[in-house]
Amino acid sequence: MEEQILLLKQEAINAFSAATKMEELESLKAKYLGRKGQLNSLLKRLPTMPQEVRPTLGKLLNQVKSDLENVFEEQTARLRRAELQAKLESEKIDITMPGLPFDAGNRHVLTAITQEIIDIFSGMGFEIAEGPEVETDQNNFVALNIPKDHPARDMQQTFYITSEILLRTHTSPVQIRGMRARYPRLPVRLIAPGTVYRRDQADARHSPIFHQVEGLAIGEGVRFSDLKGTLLVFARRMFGPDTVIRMRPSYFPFTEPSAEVDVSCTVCKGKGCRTCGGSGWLEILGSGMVHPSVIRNGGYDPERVTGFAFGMGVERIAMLKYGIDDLRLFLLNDIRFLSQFH
Amino acid sequence: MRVPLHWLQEFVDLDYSPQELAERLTMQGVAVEAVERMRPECRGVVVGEIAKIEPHPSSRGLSVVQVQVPEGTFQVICGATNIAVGDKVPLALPGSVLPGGKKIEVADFDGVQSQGMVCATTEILFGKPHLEGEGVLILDKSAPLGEDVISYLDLEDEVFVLDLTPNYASCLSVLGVAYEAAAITKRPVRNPLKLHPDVARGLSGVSVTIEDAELCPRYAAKLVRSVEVGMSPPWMQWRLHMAGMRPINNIVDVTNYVMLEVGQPLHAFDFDKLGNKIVVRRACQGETIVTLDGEKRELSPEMLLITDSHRPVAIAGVMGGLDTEVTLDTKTVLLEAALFKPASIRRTSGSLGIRSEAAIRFEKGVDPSIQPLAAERAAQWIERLGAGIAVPGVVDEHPNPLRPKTVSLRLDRALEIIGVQIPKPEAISLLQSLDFEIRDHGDTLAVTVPARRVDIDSEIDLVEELARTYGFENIPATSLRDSTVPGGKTPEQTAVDQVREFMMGCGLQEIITPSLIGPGDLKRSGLEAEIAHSIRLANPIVEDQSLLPRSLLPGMLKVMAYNIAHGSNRLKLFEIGKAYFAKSLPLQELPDERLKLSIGATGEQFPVHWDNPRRQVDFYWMKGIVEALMARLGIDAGFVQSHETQYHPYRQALVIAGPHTLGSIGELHPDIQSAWDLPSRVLVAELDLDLLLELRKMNRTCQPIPRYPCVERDIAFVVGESVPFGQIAKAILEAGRPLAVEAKLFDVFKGSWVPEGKRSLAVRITYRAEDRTLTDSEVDSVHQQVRKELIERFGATLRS
Repeated sequence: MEEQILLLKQEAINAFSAATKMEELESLKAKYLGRKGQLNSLLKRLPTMPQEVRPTLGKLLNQVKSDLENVFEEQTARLRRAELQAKLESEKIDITMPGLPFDAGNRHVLTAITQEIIDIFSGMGFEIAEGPEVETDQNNFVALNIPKDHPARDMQQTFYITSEILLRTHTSPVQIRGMRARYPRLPVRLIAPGTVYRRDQADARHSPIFHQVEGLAIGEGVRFSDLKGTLLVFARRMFGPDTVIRMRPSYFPFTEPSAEVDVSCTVCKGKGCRTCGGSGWLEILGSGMVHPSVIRNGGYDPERVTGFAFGMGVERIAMLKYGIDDLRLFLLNDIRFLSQFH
Repeated sequence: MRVPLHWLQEFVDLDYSPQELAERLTMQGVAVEAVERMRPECRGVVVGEIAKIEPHPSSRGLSVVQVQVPEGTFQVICGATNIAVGDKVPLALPGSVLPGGKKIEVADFDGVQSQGMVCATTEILFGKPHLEGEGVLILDKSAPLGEDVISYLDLEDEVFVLDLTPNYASCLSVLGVAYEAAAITKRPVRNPLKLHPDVARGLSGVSVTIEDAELCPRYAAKLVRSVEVGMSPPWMQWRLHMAGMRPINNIVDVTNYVMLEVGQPLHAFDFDKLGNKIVVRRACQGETIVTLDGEKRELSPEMLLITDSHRPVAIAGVMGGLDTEVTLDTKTVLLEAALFKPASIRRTSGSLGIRSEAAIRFEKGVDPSIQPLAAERAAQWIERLGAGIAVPGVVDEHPNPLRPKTVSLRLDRALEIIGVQIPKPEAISLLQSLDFEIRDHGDTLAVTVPARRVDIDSEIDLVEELARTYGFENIPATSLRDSTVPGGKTPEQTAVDQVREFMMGCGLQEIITPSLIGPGDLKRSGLEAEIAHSIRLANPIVEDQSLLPRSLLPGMLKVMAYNIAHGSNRLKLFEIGKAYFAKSLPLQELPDERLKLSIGATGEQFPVHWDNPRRQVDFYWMKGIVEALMARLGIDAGFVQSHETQYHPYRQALVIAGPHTLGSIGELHPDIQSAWDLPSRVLVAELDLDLLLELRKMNRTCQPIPRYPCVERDIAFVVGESVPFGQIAKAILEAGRPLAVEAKLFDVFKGSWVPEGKRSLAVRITYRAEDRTLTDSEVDSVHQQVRKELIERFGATLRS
């Protein structure tokens, strides 16, 4: 009997291992380990065995049963793995097919640049101010030292609505509005983005509608050197940490001293190239110390406070930063252009 | 302004290379845009000597001239009569090239060979045919034979092309630029006007009356007799040319030359055609004058005239009259050097459209101290050219003589504004280098301003002078010292950014459209009635950009039409822009500028993809975006049927919140869609963003997460299709109160088994109690209420 048992064990192990499907394995389990299985029929024969060998045989039978059950479990796991593997293989996909596209919205390039400028100056404690596009002649010109008949006022360049109401030609009237709204608070530090208008025919370098960002800092002891320092920080954040700036004396009726500000060419780093016309410098903004009479027009006492102001063209900065060569692209809104900027 | 360097060097030693000086001038505020090397572009024209002159054998008026050069003798045919044997002349050898590219070759004149050409000034300088009466240029006897004529005449020069800001009126002259250069080189200026500072006053035979001393503060006149009008010498013509002016004749050239030299515009009258009484007065209404350019000009009383006793002879400071012009016959010349009020000249030249060099200088401001000196200087030049004899004395009408300006400067304050520490002596010497006279009063400096610096009036002007001569590049970069301030955006500005971010999150591309549109754009957008409400420019460039509208729709449609025409087929766009609301028209006060949010879409909802549904954008797509935005802003908004002409009559809605109308959404009317050549349905929305920001919910408090589960029950029913779902949803929630918290429409079906005029709706109702888990029987009973309500109120047939 003992031999029979061991023979059965070996046979069952061989059969389990050879099974290739779960169903096959299940029926083998019934055949060997089931209630009517071969192992059980051997067990049923046990009482017919001599008394003295019964315990040994009984023990052996139990041992074989548990061994076979283990083998069955192992083989089950093997087959499950194989089945899963087969299923996974059947699920193979072409990962080079395109993913589900979704429309990622973009901001307009002018918004992107404006926000970048605002963020830089916000970090330096500048508030964001706004002013109307339809302005008074008083705020746009007279209060900025540009009375009627002043050479800086070119009739051809201004869109008028009435003799006293016009489309602002620059964001500088926000200097006056900004000071008046804040007086007598000090210091005043604001940045004012906005749309401005000039009566120019549109071409690659002119647009009747464009965008500026104005800056203003008024306080006790604000110096020209502070203007230089503030703009240097701006230029380095905007154009890269190696950027240097150059201030050239210039003229604006509402600032004195006035300066044009150049940055080292973003393309050639100052060596001279086509973008900078060989000079190594790119003009980016106009600036200066707020003229005493403008400070007075803003409500403050120019004997007590001083300040600086600057104004830059958003399109100009975008053109330099992205190598855009036609001003008309900004308001054309060709999505093939707009989708390039984020 | 264009400044030839040899000319500049007459007044100051330069010491620097042209490029270096240009750079330094630029950094001092006198922007040198370019340095141009100029020389008459003629090659192969040399100094020759006339050896023999014979008449041409057959052609009358021509001579056969033998011209000697070191290489030998050249025979040329010549029509000029001003040459004699022994004269030195420019000889264009065969193969030489005149300016403009004309090549001189051996030619045959009626059987006689001409081996080149003897040249007039006009030919060698400008390559143009010689003028009527202009003879061959006779060179000095000392001119070396065979030398290149241009080199011999020393005409090659470098020219600074200045791009002057309006404050540098004083640099509209070579002398003025010399003072700026002197501040760099620290060399003295040789001011030609200071050579003869004392001009004898009075001039018999000429009287000047100024009737309007405000418009004409000063008028000086000088006579030159025995005038011989002709060409001015090559060097003077060439200098005028380099400076950008056209040579005319020796008298006019001298007036222009002196203007370029010292900045004082001059005018030369033919004295014999002018009465001896000059009156400076305003024009009478209807008066006319024919100006030098041959144009008849209508004058008005705001214009100032120079008149003789009978008639206008010049428009003051702008242009002379044709009648009294200097001609070849002129024998006596009256030179005018006057001072006119800048604003008046600016107005006059502007309204007549004459931008003469004189007008440009007068309107920016001329040195008020130099009028008699400049007239005197011009007379001397005429004498020096041998073109006339100056009559001693000068008329100088000067009703209210100006005193030199003195401005007081607090040096400490000036340096504090600039942000530099400069020792006092250095600061003083910087100002002195610009010709300012300084008296040191301790705390303040009394600074006397040179009269030519018409731009300097106040202390801050001197601060600028100090800063620019010290050099902006030498000023340090410092940080603002004020106490720090928070800065940043206002909550409203932040909210606008958030709305923009939200739109981008919805997959929309931001656009920025021109705020100026045309009436045609409004009409094409179905908003013709808006034309009358739009603010109109008084001086538009084009009708297409003449209005500030109250709607962003035309701008949106224009962008859509452009992109569709350029190959796009699906567009999902938004704009945050201004709309302009006039309180009254014509405008009395500034309009309301309100921020609007405009959304536009056309084409498929999803990008083309093998696994994407191909569905067009529709009303519900747009409504979904607006609803989501409202939820984001915490605004409880509703939609009500509207009747606006730009939309599909049955696919549009006003967006409302309480008493407020926030805007509208809708499908574009097919007529408008086709007016813009848009191939598929277009969905648009326009919302008053300022109002949204006002109504938005700012402070939210946290709502607890529900502690007990909800129960969802679906209900399907057939109901009349004209019953708005909005009413049904409201009725469900009311009938299911307080347990029904949400009713979601998840299926709509029409046709097939559904009777005509009805639709089948399926709604998922969510029931929830805050304080317990709902039992089936509780839900059953509420749900039954809902079913009953649907049947009784809407005549619904329940399907489940």
